[in-house]
Amino acid sequence: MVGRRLPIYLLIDTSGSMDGAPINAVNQGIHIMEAALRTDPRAVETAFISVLTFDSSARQVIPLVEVGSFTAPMLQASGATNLGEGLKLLEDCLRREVIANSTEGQKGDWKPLVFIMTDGLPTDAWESAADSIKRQKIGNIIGCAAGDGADEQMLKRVADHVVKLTDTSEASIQGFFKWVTQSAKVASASVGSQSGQQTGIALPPPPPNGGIVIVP
Amino acid sequence: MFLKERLETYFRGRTDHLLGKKPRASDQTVMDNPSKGLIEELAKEGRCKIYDIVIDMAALLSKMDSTEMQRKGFTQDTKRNFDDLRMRVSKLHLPERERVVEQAVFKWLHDDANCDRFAKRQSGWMKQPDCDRDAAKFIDVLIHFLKDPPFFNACSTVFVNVALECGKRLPSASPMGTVKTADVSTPIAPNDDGSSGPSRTVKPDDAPTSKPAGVFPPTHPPLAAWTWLPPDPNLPSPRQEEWTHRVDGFPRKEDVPNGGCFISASARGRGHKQDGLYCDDSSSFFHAGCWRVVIASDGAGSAKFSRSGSQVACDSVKKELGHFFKHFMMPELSEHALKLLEAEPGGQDSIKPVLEAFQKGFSAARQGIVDWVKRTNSAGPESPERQYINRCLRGTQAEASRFDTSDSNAPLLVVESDCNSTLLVAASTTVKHRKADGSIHELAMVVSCAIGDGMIAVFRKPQSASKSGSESLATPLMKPDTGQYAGQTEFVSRTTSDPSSVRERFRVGFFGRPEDVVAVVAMTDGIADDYYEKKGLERLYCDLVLNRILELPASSDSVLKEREWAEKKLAQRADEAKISAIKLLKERNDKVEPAEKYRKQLQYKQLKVNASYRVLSSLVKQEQVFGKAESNTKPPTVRILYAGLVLDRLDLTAQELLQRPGLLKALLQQAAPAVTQTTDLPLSERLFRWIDSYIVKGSFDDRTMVAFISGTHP
Repeated sequence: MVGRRLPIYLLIDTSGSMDGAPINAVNQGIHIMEAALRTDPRAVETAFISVLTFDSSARQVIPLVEVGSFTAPMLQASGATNLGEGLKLLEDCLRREVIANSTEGQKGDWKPLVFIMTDGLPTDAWESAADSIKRQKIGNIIGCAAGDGADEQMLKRVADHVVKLTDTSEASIQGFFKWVTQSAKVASASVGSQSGQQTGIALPPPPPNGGIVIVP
Repeated sequence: MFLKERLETYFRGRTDHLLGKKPRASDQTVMDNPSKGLIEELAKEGRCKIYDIVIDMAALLSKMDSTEMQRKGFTQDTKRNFDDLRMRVSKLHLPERERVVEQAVFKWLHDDANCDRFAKRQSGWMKQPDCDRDAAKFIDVLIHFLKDPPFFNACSTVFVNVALECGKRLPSASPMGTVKTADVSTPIAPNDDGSSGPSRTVKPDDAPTSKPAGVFPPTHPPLAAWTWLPPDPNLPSPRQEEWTHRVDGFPRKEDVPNGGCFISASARGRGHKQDGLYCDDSSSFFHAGCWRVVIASDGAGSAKFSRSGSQVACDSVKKELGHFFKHFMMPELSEHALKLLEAEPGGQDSIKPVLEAFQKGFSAARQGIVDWVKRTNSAGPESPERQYINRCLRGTQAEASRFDTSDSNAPLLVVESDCNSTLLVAASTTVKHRKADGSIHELAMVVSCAIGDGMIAVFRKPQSASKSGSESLATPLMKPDTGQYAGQTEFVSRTTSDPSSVRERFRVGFFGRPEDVVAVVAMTDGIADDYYEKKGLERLYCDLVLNRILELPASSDSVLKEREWAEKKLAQRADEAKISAIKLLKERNDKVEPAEKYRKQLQYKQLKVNASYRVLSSLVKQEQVFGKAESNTKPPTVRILYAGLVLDRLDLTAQELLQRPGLLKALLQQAAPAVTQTTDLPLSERLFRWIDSYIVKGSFDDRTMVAFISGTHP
């Protein structure tokens, strides 16, 4: 009865270094994203959003809910950068909440879109969690290295695409979320039209002068 | 004043009345305003059942005489309003009255002890034949409770919250909610200023702590609605004429001489209506000799010329198979031959000519597409086709194959993948089957082959299933999907239309006595996707019956009895949902993770929705017919029954529903009371209306269904 969903996961670094302007910009960014998706009828019916955070520990702030039930959270930043825990939680959520195609029972979801945003280096062992996710190809994963402190090459280990924000200013972070929104809209528009093979999602180009660079 | 504050003031004032206190001066304005105004406003605000709350109030007041009322300080206005409402209560029908009781129960149950007691009693109470008298008694009991001031105080808090919750989206600070219910056992302590304040019971600790409040206003812009655009007039229309008249799709019907008919309909998906594009699906059907063939094709949304591709594919395969089937009859089949055919259809001599014809047909479909591409590319540079192609392709990434020569000014070329389309073909006939004892029976046989997604299915009469119910009434004739995630499919191409590929996809099925087969249908995934789940095809069968596309099974079942049964069942399940909702509401959420809180909120919402299906007519949905509206008239609507909802609320399987014709009839009577408006329409038009209007969340693909229906039809 329920149509297929396009799950969108945001895994956000809420470590201490994000405190202040960056985390405010993230909050604002998610808020604007929510508002923008509500204006797109396709996104309203297909996009499902979940917000995960990691600092000294990882938690799912908002479970996978449809756009109409989504309320932008107010994230706060403090603590370490335990990316490993975040990735483990992400894998757990992807397994638990995303429905794969099965010959019996429900029609599977569209391949999830995952955005991972961090501004620093991980403070825990994260490599095995990253490899586990990458190996299973359970989502189209886009990494976002925000500012100088983040290592975009490191994110490549888990992500299919990596973008780099030149800094963690409000403008950059909000630019990133605008791009996330655009990607979500493009993805929910393309889900209706099947293609011969799924080579991954075609991402829209990042906004010019937005401080966002796609890392080759 | 905000609605919330007005409500709180109103209920605070009312509580004061009941306690015999004089309302505060500031509350007096609200109290003096006829409560009706407030109620109407709430109702306008949306979906609020405040009316019910007031009816309870009326019931309470009906027990007081006028002196008592005056003593308690009710104004004449209020009294008149309540009297009026009381009159309306007394005139209510039984189910409505039950609803009133249920509302009262809703409040009463906010006490845990009551909740348990009620749960125990409820089963017995619901079964009593004389519900009415019982209900009256029950009201008395409840009124007793309502007269208990502390309890009533608690209730009035609940009222506020319930009303708020129904009428307005909740502030984002507290996803779950809602209802910071005052402890029922604790009377509300008067505040410092001497008033009792339900508003004070809103505990701040229910909001996610550590969050700075009010940084972003918790405003949610309304969810976007779909729009309707006709296809761009600049698009050339490589479509039959029907499409230019009826841009949203068109139905077709054709009778077959020896009984039965074909119907088909295509409809633009909501996505294409939104974007002003054509429908990319095509379908076709024909009968030749003793064969009936249905063909459907879904043009890929990602391919620019797929609507031509699907059309060409359908036409080509029809032409090829039409010649063949005119003169071919299946030989008599032994028991053994049947088994072999079902197990390994590609290797049997008896069916070999059919397989070869299918192979030729699918090759022809592919060849047709190739030829179309060639022809299109050879159009002169000034021709409208050429210009259109250039316009279409300009935006696409210029792959090397699109260029004719190294000349960069050369026209862009259409390539085969621009016509990507699926292709589904099903042919049905009757074969003679010689049993081991030598007797000969007739059997329905369906031969099919499909490239890509969509579905081919055979529906059989409900009576034909064995009593054990193990046999399905709706049999799929193809594998529904491939790939780990949705959206991966195949199209007609050199490899997929290759004879060996067609042979692999070739299926043969036998479906018992020919007269037991109701329909053979092919559909594109715009419909198939909506019925994907296990037993989904039986649900589709139900939907076709409930929306009057397939005939009702004949029966002598009592419609009245079935209707009563259904109404009772609905009421019972609504009660269950309501009780669950209340229990959920009462759970403490202080220490719950926000994600969990969210989940509970969703669960609660669902329970509230479930609780709203109390009467049979609530199962009928009124869906808007898109795009047909004149500028200043309301868009027309269609009554639609969703089998999924019916089955869920009545706790039946699709097969059980199909085997209860009385119940089906009762449901149909709800959908079309008095005048059977839809049965006046031709069958194909009914099919079109249904596929054009039914709504499934996340389903906005083009929809096409083509069916051969046995029996005679108007």
